[in-house]
Amino acid sequence: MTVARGHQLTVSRVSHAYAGVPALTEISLDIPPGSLTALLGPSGCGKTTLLRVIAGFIRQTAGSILVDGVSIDDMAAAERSIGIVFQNYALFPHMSVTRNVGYGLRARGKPTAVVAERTAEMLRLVQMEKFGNRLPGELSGGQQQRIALARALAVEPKIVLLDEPFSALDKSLRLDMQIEVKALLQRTGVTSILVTHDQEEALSMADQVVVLNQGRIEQLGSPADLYDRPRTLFVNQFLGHANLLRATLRSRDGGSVGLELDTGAACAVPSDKEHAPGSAVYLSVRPENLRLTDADGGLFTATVRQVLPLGSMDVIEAETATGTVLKFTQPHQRGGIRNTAGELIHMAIRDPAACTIYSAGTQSTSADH
Amino acid sequence: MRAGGAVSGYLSAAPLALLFTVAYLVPVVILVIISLSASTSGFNFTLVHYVAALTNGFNLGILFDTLVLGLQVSFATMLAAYPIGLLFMRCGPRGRAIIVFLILLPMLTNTVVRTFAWMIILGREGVINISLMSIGWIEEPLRMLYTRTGLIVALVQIFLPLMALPINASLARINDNLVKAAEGLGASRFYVFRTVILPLSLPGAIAGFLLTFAGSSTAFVSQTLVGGGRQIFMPLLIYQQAIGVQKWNAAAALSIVFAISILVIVFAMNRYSRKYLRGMDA
Repeated sequence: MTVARGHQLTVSRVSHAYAGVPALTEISLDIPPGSLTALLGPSGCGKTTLLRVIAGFIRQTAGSILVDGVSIDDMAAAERSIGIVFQNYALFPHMSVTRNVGYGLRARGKPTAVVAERTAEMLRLVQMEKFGNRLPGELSGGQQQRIALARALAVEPKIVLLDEPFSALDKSLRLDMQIEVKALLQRTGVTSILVTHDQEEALSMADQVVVLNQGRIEQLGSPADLYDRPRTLFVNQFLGHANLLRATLRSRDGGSVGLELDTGAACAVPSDKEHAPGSAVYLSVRPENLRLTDADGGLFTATVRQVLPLGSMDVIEAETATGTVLKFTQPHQRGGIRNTAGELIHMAIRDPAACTIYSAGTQSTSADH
Repeated sequence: MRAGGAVSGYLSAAPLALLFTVAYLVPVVILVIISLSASTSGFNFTLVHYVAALTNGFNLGILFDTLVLGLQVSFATMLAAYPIGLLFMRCGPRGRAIIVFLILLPMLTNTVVRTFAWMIILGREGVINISLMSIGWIEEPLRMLYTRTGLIVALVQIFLPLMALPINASLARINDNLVKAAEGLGASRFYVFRTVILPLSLPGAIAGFLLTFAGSSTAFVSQTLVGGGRQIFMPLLIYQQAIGVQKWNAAAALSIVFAISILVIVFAMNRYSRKYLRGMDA
């Protein structure tokens, strides 16, 4: 492989507005050479606009896009050396697989022999060498995706943009393709950006995840970072499930705060956030951080509403005495489900340090998701 | 589909089929009979009119020139329609509605009236000549009316809707992401047009081409009025034979030869284009 390794992409204070309506506001981010960064957010969050700005299809209202520290703002899309894999692959329907993969090389006037050699190499890379004479319409979704990726990589782009690349695949194939695409991108060492609304896809594939909401960066970090330490309620709810327990902050003692849950129970949680004593807060507990316990060790009680066996895990939905609906998981045990609907259970938090606190009222409790 | 559905389908098409038979097929059959008859008084079978039509150098020259005119007009119309189509492609629904309206607008005026309008525009003391002379760009009026170029320009304008509408329709069907993908791969605007937009819109262009070709090579009024008496094309030749010198049988034979020539070209182009489209796929 002769793919140039490691080009750095920098988005510097980029804003964009469609006819005066802001779509992106002061976006700044650094995408390290050779890494895979996911732009994650609900529809309308601005992720597609950002992708189009980077690709050069639209010109941002303000700010700058830099590759290796050099601005590419004045370059047309065709000059930017940025490969794109579209949601529906956008393969040329009237060209064979071979001609699709070689398109960018021919467009750049490369000699026929070079085009043929490079095309064959790319088809080998995506294990599609037997399909060279087929038309895109004669391929399955996964095969089309491989060709779209091969076509984008054939011209040795500095950056690869993947626009919701897996959303057209059915669920069983999606995971396989995610693994395959990630391995391919790592092998070629190309800097890549994945645009997705699927949080699992972003968490499983990316080195760095950027959560966008209403045109702004909500949080940026590693997948584990975002999941374990969501800075805002939006990120907390958008990535994974968040059980929100209403509580009142009663005391502050160094790095931890004392809470009184609306069920009356008291608990202490580490927090470095500034919440005034007496203020209403949400205690966010991930489903895997709740556990069943006996009557003595329970923090509060709840009534089981539904039990969903999802294979390796059972998901249990329960309602507290104050009407808060919770979801929690427990490993499936041989011999069936332990709890039944209507049963009263006692619950505890496994690790208080893994909980997060958000002030209630200042932020919307329902993520746009 | 149920057999009953098919039968009722045929039944509901029957009135149109009847009209088509009476108003189109029967006259064509009568025309064929006349062309095969020695004279208009009774039917005496002969091929002499066909022999004359196909061996007379003057007639053949006019036939060839008429078909060439049709091809010239069709190519020129296609060149004029593609820029409109590319603009159409870039427009939103509102812009597209305006473009379609503007394309259709001239069709609200009768072709004969549009032809007279072109005579006024192109004439010796027409709009163009007077304008150019008044700003001093030319001393003498340009000869535009009664020239082949003038005729082609007028026919292009008259047949533009038939070319632009199918081209617009097929351009609008092209997924915008295909163009973006090509640009992202480093293709210049022209390369994208040549390798993606043109091939994918070819079905529309061919439909428009065939309509324009059939229409412009048989456009009697425009050919005669804008082309003038010195340029004789098949429709005028047939008219002269039939009305001028009352040779109905010869005129009928010329009509059949002309119609078959156009059909042969239309079918050949259709076949070739299909082959080309399939060849492009591989």
